[in-house]
Amino acid sequence: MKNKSIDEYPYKFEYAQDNVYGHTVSLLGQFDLPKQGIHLDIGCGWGSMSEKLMENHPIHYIGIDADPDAVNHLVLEGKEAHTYKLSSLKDNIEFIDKILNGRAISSISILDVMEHVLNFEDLLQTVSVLSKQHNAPVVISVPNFAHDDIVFKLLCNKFDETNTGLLDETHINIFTQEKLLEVCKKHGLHQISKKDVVMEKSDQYFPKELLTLTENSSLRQLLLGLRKNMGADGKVNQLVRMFIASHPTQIPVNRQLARPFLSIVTRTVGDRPEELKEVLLCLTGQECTDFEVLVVGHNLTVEKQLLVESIINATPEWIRSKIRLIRVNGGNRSTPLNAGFENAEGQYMAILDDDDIVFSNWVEEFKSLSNNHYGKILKSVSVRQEYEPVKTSFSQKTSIAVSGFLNDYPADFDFITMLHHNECPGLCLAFPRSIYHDFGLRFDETINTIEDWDFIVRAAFICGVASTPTITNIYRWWLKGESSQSLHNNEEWEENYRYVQNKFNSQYLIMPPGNAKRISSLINMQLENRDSNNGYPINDELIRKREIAHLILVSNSWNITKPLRLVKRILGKKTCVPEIFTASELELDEFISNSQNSKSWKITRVFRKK
Amino acid sequence: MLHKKCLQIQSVLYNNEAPRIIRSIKSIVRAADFAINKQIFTEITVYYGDGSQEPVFTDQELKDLNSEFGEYIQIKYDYFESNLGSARGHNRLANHSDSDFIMIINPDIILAPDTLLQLAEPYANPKQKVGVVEARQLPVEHPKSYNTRTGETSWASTACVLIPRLVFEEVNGFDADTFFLYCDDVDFSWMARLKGYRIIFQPSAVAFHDKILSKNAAWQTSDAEDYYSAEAGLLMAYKWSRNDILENILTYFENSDVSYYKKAAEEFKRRKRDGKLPEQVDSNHRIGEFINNNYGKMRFSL
Repeated sequence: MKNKSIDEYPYKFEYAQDNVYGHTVSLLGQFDLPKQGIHLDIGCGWGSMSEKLMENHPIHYIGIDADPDAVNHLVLEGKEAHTYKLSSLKDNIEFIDKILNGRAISSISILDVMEHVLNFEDLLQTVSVLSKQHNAPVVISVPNFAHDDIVFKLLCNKFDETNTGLLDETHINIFTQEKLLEVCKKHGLHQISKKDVVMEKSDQYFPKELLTLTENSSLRQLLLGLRKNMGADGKVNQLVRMFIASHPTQIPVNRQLARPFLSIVTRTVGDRPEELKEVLLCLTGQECTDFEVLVVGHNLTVEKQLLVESIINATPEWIRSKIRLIRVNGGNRSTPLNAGFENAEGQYMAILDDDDIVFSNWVEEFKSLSNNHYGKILKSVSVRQEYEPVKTSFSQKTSIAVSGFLNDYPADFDFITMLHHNECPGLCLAFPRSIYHDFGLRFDETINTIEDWDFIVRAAFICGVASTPTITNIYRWWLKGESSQSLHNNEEWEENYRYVQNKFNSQYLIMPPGNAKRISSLINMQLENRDSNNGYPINDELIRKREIAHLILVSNSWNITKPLRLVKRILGKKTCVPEIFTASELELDEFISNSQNSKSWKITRVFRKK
Repeated sequence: MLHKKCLQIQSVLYNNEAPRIIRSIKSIVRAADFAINKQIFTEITVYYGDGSQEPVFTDQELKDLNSEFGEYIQIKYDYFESNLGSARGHNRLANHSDSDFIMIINPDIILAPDTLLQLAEPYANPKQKVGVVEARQLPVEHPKSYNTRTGETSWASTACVLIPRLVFEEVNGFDADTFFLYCDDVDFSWMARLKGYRIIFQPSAVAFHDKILSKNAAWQTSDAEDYYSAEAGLLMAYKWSRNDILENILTYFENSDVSYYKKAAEEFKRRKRDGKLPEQVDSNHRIGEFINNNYGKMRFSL
């Protein structure tokens, strides 16, 4: 049989700083490798990085490969190389021990080998044993099967194998980051560093006319948008990771079975101990107890931490065992939500703040909805109730309800209205864990208000929403005392509102069925409105006025002056509040002018903190 | 502070589900642990009176419950063999012991860990002449008014209240001959006030009392609640010497198309004929408060 020349060898790749060899040398460059220590290059091929590695470190290079031509080539270059076909753990160790002959290994590499090897777990076990025995770091590289180009082509039923590259026809194993890390941990190899090879367009970027690949198609942009928060994997061509061996990590056999249905995330800054006690009492009264509670203490002082801990520890044992306290420092209102969702084990995740109140059916209704709508966001109905702080001569500082139930929030989730403003208090929703843990959606930590609206809308267009008209909770609305409404001034609310709307506006949205007609009816209304406005077209000015009217309606001043309007109404002078979407420009002008010129608006200027 | 006092927590069952009662017991155990630890009470008994057609608990189940929770509370059980109603049921249970305090709760009430401590607080100073202390219910807070400085209120709902035995006996317990299910607590509170006691609403003593709202956020009532509330409304107006209100209600009920209103009016007239109406009290209208079809002022309506 004729020996292969270097030109005939299919896997003869040159060393380059920005390919897998350069990245491997760079990773090993973090170590001061000992003089005369062995670098073991398993599946070395033509030893592309051997020269550079020896140039950088005073090591002795040993290559091992099943191809005798590649091995001969290295030997002819004066390097040590051995022909060996990888086998069982026992045989591998026996062979390597024999060639080492007592010499110490300082580092190991297995570059683009595991995808070709029948028993790759034996290989991992082999390097794990050697790494542990010699305290040697191991660099492993594999092609990334989760590259955007492969994923987007598979969506179109295209699987194009090639001679080399991401879908090399000789590959018998495929890897993603998750699989690589999991199987390595299983064999005691723990990642200590990484330097992946990133390729915007891989060798699989063809045919270029495919809609999922062609740069300007909406479909590609939508898919890229969905994948962008999943991590950088989509552009990684080869995963290049460095490991060190220690004890194996236990991988749960089937984590899905052990997950509670709902993770309840309760953020607290520790200044509402009575209300937190009430939240936990409401949870003690749940009909469905298939949940866990993550109390996220935000910026807790030691005193407040002890207080929160004492409230948790006081609960009956069965629920205490379901509660975890997580402490978070820094950031803003979004930070504890992200920390809570990050630590959540549940199939679904819900926000229940430390002053919310839930009925006994809160968890049960979510679970029941999930039976037919698993994967969607689950929505029940909140009622609003106004509260004030109270402290009698016998009681601790606590709260008093000062209104009945205000049926302010709709039973259905209206995707169009939600783009304009939030009509879902966070506690009426449960989010599927995948939206956070797989799709990487996060609460935006750059805004300190309406962070829930931002998250809800982005999540809703991905997951869809299933609603029940059943009331399951009370959203407490504080008329006095601190709340997010009182802590932030109007300017901040307005800025955040614009920021979030721009964010929605800049991305592709998946509109669920039923909304085309809804948009059409809105256009109809606008056209009718234009006719009734003597032919004035709907313009930017009208949109701006709608925004001003909306901001007045959600302002502190509007809220504070509610009793005055009540008195006015009793005296027979009703305040005309326009329906923002359908009001004419004239009606909006009248409302804005009346509001801003009213005595009450001027008196309450201080509450707007402009 | 109170010291070395015995407490009987009592509840009248009527076809309740055992798991819900056990969930309530678990919360009582935790609250009892704190109350005993703080030496508010030294001994706590939970007494269930059962008016169901079939006993809710078997002897073995009670034995198991006592074995599980006996470290903190003693659980006792009286099978009534008939539906005595809440007023008579509670009178009977109260007679089973001579505890210093009686706590009346609904069978499905879940206490917060500090509910007993908070309920006991107003009794710390005997000079305050407190007759009944009521807990705040969650998730639906009772809308009746209370003085936000003193906690004083017109009457206390017996969904969750703490009463000194001396007061209970001085008032002769609930008026079971007049009230079967509803308003026995309003009447009891007013009788205590007639004797000079204050009724205190304690907002930091919380108790979860499950309620489900209708889809339009309205309070939902059962048929029994509708009828017995109507019947009790007539009897309250009569007993508390508000003949003017009684006449108005009777006329309204008799002319109404609502069947339970008509039935309540008939029952009232039957009692009157049979001489079964209670003795009238508060002739100068010092205590009884009938405001907009409610017993006392309301902060809001449900």
